[in-house]
Amino acid sequence: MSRIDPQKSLIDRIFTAALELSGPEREAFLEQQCQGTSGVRSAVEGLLKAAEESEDGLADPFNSIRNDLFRSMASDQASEEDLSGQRFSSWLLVEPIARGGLATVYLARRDDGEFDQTVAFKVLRRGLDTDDLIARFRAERQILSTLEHPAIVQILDGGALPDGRPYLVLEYVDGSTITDHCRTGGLALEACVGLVTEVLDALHHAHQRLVVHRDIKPSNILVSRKGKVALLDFGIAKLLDDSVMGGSTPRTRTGVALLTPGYGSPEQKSGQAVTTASDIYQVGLVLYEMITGRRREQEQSGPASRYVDDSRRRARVRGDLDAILAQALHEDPNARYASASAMRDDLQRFLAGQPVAARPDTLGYRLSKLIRRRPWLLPSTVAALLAVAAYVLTLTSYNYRLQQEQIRATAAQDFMVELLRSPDPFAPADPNRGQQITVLEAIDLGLERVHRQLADQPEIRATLLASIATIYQSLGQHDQAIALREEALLLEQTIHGEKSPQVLESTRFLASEFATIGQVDRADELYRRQLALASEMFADDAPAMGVAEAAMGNHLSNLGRLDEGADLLAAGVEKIRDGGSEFARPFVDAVVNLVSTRLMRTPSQQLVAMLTEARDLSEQLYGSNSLSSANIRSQLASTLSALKDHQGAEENFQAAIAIYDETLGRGHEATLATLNNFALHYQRTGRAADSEGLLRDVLGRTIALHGEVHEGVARSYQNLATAMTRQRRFDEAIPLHWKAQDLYKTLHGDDHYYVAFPLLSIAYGEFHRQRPHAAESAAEEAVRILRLSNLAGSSIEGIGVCLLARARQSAGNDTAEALMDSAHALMRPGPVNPVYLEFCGLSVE
Amino acid sequence: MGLDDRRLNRVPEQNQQQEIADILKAMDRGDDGALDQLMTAIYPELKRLAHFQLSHERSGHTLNTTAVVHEAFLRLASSDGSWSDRSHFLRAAARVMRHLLVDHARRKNAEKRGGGEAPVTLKESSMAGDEGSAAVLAMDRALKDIAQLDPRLERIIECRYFAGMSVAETAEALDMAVRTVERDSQRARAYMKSALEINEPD
Repeated sequence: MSRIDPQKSLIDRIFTAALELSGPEREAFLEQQCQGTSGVRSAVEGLLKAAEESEDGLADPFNSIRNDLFRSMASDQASEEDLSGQRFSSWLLVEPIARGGLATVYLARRDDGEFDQTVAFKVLRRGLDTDDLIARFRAERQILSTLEHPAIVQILDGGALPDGRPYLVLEYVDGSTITDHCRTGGLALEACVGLVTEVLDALHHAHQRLVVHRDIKPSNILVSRKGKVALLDFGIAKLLDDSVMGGSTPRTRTGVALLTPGYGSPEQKSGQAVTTASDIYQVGLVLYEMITGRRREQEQSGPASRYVDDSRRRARVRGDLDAILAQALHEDPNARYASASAMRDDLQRFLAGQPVAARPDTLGYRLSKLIRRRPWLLPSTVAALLAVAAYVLTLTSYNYRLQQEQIRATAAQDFMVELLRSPDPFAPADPNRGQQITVLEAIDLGLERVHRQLADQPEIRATLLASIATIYQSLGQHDQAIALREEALLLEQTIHGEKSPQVLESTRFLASEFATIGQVDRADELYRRQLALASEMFADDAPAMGVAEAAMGNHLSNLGRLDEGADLLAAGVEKIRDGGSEFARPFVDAVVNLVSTRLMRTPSQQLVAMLTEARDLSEQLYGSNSLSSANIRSQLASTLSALKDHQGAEENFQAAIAIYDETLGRGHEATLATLNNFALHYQRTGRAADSEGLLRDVLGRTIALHGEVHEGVARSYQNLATAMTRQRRFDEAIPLHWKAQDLYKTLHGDDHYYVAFPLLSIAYGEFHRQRPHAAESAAEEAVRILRLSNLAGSSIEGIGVCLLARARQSAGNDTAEALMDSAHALMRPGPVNPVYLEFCGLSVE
Repeated sequence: MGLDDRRLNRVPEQNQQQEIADILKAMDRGDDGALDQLMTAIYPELKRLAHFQLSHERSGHTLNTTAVVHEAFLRLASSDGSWSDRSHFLRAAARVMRHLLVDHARRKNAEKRGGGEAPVTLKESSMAGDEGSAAVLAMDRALKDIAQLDPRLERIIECRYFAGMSVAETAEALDMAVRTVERDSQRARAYMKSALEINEPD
């Protein structure tokens, strides 16, 4: 890439600005701007003149070529090329057997009288013979000729048609794809795994010769009728060391370029360097498909065995094969098998009944936990942030000595630190750098610079340590984050003194990190210290004081001290509100935290007003498509729904979901939580069928995300079943309520009040199925549990007692009437669902 | 049991859309390889439609190329759901059109001139085929410099000239305001003209 000429960019700047002006204004502007430069003015005037002339036939050549192109394309199409019957060199083409996007493959025969041989003749499609594609064909030929393995398709010949299009002559494999072979052949699991070890063996051979296949998928792995595996199509394969191929290689490309949709590895998709680990990943996908009978979805998590229908096969896959697949399919290439032979060996150990090397992956576990906890942190975001970090570090270390650059470096530092702290770090990162620097490189670079070059610059050193700690926090590496931030804190205490904003900030950071890793006592101590520090440093009504209180309040509500927490958060919010734009971010954060504390309890117009304010502010700060506005809109929608503002609720739900879909994808936890609430909103407004549709989707995705045993899955079963109950489909609903009940028991213990909710629904359903005894025992159990909980004496208990009364009534028990009276005494109209009010004989106002 | 677990576990369509979005992102990063993949997706459809248009035109003289691009979008969007976003498609299509046009022009040029490239004369208002191809090729080369100055201009030229889109379509494809497209088209035009004139021998 040549560098841009500063003269040209100056001319462009003046020219662009001058276009907006006219007459004497423009004249004056040019006079002023072009002073002291030579040639600039005439160049700008030339451009202005050219810009203001008419189109002057500029589009004509384009239109004429385009027309001509379409005409030739059309005539191509009219006669879809068929070279059958033609002879090239000693090959006679018999019939086309496959037409791909780039090439057509013919069945062909050697026709030189020497010996009979059936081959596959692959030729570039007409119209696609661009330099790039021709070079790629040549590369495939060269690569194939370096490989010699029984499971890699052999190249026999190559050349060019008279019109210049290249062709390859390959060994013909008469068979089916590896997945079809396993499915239609009804192959045993062990036989399927055995075939994959052969693929890995071939791949190991290729990798040793520095060839990465990059496009492994079922259609590129054939199994012949005799059961022999053949790996095909090295069309986008790449030599790891390009120098081996001299000048004739096509440009090195990132992996995303040509990969087949559905079979790309994460690093291929994100445009990072592709290594042999990508092939391992793709083999993992193929094995997954062979084992489960279905393609692995992009956001699918959890063991493969979950998706196996046959129970005996599921039991065989569970454990070892799950672990092997998990290691092959790891998001991080470095965490996968180190080589194809390592994976082959592990599969062979599995076949031999020996323990496999793949172990449960704790790193992946931790990362996925992190992503759940901080839904806005996606891997790509983190990479982008790190790229910015690296940029700032470079800027700092190279330039801080220069007086005039120092201010810039500091500003950039602030920018990065701010960015990392923001709840919405999506927008401003520099995408061009994102692909050049990997996460680890950026961190290593940063730390190395901090330690080596900044030893005599404690102030910058502290700032950077703090920034890098934030990066580690984003990556879920909390131990490192804490270690670095503690180092930063020590420096800050020396440089700025105890009562400084820096020390305050680091203390707060450490508090939240200790809370995250579960060291509640240490977190508690630090939260208190930051509050004490703030009150020594600031006036009681200062916004910075509010930030400290809000942090403490959030901590308390996380500890379950909801009232105290909410009060402190509310007090904090009021103080931060007066802080102006400087405190806009803490304000939005605090409001979100306050609302999530308060929402469980009382939705109010005041809450709506606060959320609306936070939403508007967040949109100003981060844009209307930002995740933080989605988070706030989602909360706002639920609040409005509870307040029966149906239209407002629906609008905000839709807007939030659109943003989540766009940024996080539908399968993400945050998206699913909002979809769930949206479905409940539908239930409240009587649209049970719509609600059911949404909840089915939510349930499936929640299981895919978390596995079967999870709070979210229990909630989804319960809500889905309720939607069915509303449509009076009790036979379908009751088994799902039982599933929810079982899950709640597993997750929280037999007597937790959550268990009572599905039981109430079951009692209601059984009653309507005319099974009063089943209804009675469910209601009895629900009431027993509720009386043990802090819902004793609440309207919920009232509903339980009422269900019990009606069940006994229809069973002919005469104590029912007295029971119903005590139920009515418990039920207060406000919080009770109208369905139950009606059922219990109370009026619905 | 009312629930079919298999059906619930499947998450259709999202995948492929995501892939296409990935390709477009790669394309935006300047990854030329992504183009090949778009080509394979779009080219057969363009070809089929070009044929259809021509065979249904009585005069056989004009071919509404914009209509071809649009039609291709509608078909691809509805056939397999892989093109979820119209503006994405238009942008990708413009990139593909540039590639196809340059390639076609190069071939035509080679046929006529035996490999060398003709000097361009803009003043001749009627461009015959081979001068047209020289102009297109010169423009493709000049675009690399123009892109260095402002990558937006490159996109705009691709949409407006290579793909023949209107100002409104370009605005949609690039997700820009119509006014911005108009202003930048003016800038682009000035640079194109100066680029083409420099190529003149006299």
